[in-house]
Amino acid sequence: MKPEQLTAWALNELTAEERAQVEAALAASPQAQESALEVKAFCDLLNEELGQDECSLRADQSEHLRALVPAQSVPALSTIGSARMRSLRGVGAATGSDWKQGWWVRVAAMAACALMVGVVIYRATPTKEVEVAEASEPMSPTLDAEDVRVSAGMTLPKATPSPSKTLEPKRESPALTQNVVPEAKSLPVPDPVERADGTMIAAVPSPSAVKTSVQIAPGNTVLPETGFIETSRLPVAVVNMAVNPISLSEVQRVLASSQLKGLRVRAADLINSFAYSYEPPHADEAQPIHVSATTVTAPWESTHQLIRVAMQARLGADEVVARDVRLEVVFDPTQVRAYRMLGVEPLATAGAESEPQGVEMKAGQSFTALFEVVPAREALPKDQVLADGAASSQPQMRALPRTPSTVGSEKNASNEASLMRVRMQFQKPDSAFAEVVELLGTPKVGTLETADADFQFATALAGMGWLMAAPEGRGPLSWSQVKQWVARGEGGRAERADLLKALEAIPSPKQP
Amino acid sequence: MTSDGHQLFHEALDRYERPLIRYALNLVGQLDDARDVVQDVFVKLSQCLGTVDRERLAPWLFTVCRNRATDHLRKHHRVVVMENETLDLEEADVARPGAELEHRETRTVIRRLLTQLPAKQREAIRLKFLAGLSYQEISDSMKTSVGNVGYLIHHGIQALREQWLSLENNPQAKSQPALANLF
Repeated sequence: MKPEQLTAWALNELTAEERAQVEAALAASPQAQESALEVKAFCDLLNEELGQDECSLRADQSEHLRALVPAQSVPALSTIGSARMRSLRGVGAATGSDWKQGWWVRVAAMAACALMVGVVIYRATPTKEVEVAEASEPMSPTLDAEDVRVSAGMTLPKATPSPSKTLEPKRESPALTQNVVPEAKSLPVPDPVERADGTMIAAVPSPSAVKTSVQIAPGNTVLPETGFIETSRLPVAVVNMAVNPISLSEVQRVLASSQLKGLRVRAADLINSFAYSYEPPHADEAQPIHVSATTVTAPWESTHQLIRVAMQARLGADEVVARDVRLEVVFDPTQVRAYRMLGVEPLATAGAESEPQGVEMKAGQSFTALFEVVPAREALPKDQVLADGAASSQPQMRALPRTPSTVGSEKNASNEASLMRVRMQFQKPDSAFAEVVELLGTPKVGTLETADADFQFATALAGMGWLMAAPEGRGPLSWSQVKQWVARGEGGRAERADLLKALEAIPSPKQP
Repeated sequence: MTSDGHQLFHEALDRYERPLIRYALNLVGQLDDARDVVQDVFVKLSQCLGTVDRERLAPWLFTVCRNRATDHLRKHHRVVVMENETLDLEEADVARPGAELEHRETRTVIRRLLTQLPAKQREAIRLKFLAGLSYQEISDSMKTSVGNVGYLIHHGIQALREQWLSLENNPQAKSQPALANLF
């Protein structure tokens, strides 16, 4: 009998069979029995002394928490996401059973509307529009009726021209993956998280809360771009720096194929799978990572701005120069009406482990984040704004902690109004404390054509992500434009040259 | 009819409020701070009801609690970093002066002894006795095998018991200070 078993016995952690074995052994040995009883007595003491504090929440805290999830307001776990989608569509505060009862009524109403206003769009590929709560998960082949949603403004298959027929959920198409709808109304959820410094904090949204229209070929998993978040409500975007690298050969294979199969299109991953040569830390800079921000006019929307936040670790041996590296961008609501991160790495949604974790950066490594920003003087893009609730219901991000050795340095400060502030946190490998570097972004606006090659190349990759998800293009963005940017950003780098070859070999690889 | 999500949240509140506060209190040291940490944990649960795995709810709650407590300590500059190896070797050999500390309560002494355990043993003991988790739940929370949990708890208890017995034989030593208020 192992000593650990004796402790497990004392703590009642054994299975019935194990317990019987241990007790038989104890019965045969008075000495072992005495030891066991001593261990058990001490365990009982620990239980009594450590486990009996009757401390509880204050009454106001308890009241607040119980009000957070009032009775009858939360749907079953399996349908909570669907209910959220329902609310986003403005269906109202109907309960799950109400929804089921009224489902066919709404379907019929939508079908009638579709017929009357003639907004039906015919597609060449027979597909079905399905909403799912978790956009990153393929739909189950065994969908229940209540898991299938039909949306207004839906896309109907050409093969089934009768809208009324199309509106019926079809169970015989298990290969379908997802569709999301750009109708975003308010969702009654708690306010976004307020941090100690008074700022409100938002997570960069996960696909489950992202509403955009994407037509997906069967068998693919395409992650939609994010909607805009209003800065007045959620000015802080926490960037998930964990990258899932995509190999060049994988990209080439997809570009060469006639279908977008086999690639999870995440522009953030695409962008950060390539090496960049950003400005490294200056010789007199104590920090191992240099962070910079560059702003240009968004090439697909002249009233918007495109911001690149670039991080570059210092050169040297193949060593970790910083760990627990985190990045967040705080937008100024007086300058920025709304923002979104391009090709965002979606957050996992399951709890503690879903929070963006700090990453390690080795010597010479870089990181790129692209944001599209709507200036304060411009109107919000229609149908592209995440509902308040959709944004604030994202997993709460862990705020960057400050430590005694926090470094608060502002660089590139100018007299001009600044769009945002970039906060980078890291720990040096030999340090026990985190340090924070803050960068006041310069509002210097040029065009992408005059920006550096790395900026053009990263934008091209973001564009590739879009075009793979929506081959028909996004406004003026086209494959030829992407090729131009790749060509300008090629810079003699072998990987980029290979990517350009792959793009040039297929003049219009994903045109419908 | 009460929904599953509502039930889950309120059952979690009823079942884990006190264990979480005990656990958080041991991490942050102040009851009000522990309450704030635990309130954050349940706020987070309310936001994750659609995704949290109810079979692993307890490990999830205590992992979130640990993260929140860690953040809290960092924010308030109360993190003391000391390698476990150092703790294993170092001993407190100077008694704290002051008559008021000579007769500490058993609970206080046990908690002080707890702080002297290596970090993993300490965490396993906390999750077992403060939080009341099973070996399996501790295994999920600490991301280690159930067998290793048994090992950690056994050796943790052994170390605590030996220290306790030695203090019983030498009551003056009960007033020794903790090595560090680690989490």
